[in-house]
Amino acid sequence: MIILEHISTGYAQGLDVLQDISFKMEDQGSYALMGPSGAGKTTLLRLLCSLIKPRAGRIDGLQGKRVVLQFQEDRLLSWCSVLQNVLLAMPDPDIEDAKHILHALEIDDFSAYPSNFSGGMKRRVSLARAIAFRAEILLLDEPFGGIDAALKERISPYVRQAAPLIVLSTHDPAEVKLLDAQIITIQENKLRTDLPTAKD
Amino acid sequence: MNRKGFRTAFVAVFWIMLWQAAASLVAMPVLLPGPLQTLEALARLGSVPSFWLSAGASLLRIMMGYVLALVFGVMLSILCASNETAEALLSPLRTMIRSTPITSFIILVLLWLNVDKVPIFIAFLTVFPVIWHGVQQGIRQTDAELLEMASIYAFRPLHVLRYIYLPSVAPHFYASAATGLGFAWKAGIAAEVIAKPAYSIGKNLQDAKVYLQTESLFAWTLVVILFSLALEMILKRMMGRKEQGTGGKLV
Repeated sequence: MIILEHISTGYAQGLDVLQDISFKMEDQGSYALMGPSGAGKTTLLRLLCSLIKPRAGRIDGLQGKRVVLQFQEDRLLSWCSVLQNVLLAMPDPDIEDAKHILHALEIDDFSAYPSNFSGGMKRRVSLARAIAFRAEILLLDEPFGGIDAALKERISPYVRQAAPLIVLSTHDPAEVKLLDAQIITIQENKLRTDLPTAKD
Repeated sequence: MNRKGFRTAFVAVFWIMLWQAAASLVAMPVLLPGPLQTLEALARLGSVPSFWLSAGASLLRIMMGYVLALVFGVMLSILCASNETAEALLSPLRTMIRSTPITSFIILVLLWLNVDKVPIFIAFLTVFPVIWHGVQQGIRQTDAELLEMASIYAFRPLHVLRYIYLPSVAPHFYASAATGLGFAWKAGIAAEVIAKPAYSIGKNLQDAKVYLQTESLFAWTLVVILFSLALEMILKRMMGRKEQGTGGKLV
């Protein structure tokens, strides 16, 4: 169980991006962070993978867990092939396993360089890299950006079983449905969803 | 001949003809020898074994200084990019070396070192701040988002070095290495002119000036230019090959 209690955080001196947020998530399942741009979805994902620390409050249940984040930007190594990009993220690099993940996301040109790819293809390579990390908690920041609806539908069953716990941020209710995720709504830097808290 | 080759040939012919026209106008080879007289002097010099000995010794000295500068410059750039105290302590040294006239260093180093070693040291001293600055800029400009990604994806330190730092630093290293090569030749030959090691291009340049053998002076200068151009071409080829092979096997 991942428990967030009275979490407030921000980037610089000034207003908190997240204010007094409390909720808990099961170790298994899918959760979707929804809300307008700037509401704090990405900040919450960065908090969950310890890229930023809370100013107040505490997070329990992440200790010792393998957590990875698919960033909002692709952050691919343009000088490495797509296969190399995936292999670099693997705890035990295995070419066949890396090819299998890419194939599942319908990327079959393993030796191509990301710079030759469209936005949606780059997004799938970055998604493949996140899956290849074999995390217990897979954090996905707008994972399906630039991917058409039919393709999303084809690859989502594979993504859904890629990690025990998936937390994604999205604006698209269809993606929530595809990943069978429970919605966490963030608005004006506060939680607007009646998710269970540590007291429940 | 392709378009690029034709253009290069045209430019070369244009400047040689301009040189010949100027030499004909001056009509005093002791002041300005023409291209043919220079080539004749070069052929005459080339027929004597000491020419090759002098050219080879200068090449060796300057390359020794240059390679030492590459190694030392890269080491200092890593130290300064990773340690602010080291940067604060050492950066005045770089500013001082870059702003001091090279002749001051040559005269000073003549007091410390054997004449054969002065050009090596001077070539080194001129090039290493260029490499140091260039590589340090490259390290500093490495994409912070990629480094953050590497930390989240638990890249091995060697992979961070090879797949993130090296590709980011390489263009800066190559650019400063190419600039430094020209500097090494200019400063190294200047040091030889003043220090006059027994076998050196610099000593021959100085002798040509003393005996008013201007065509020999031009011929030796041509040798320096040819060496510098040849080495620059080799360096560019090496850079091209390295840039193609940035990826490599992981497993």
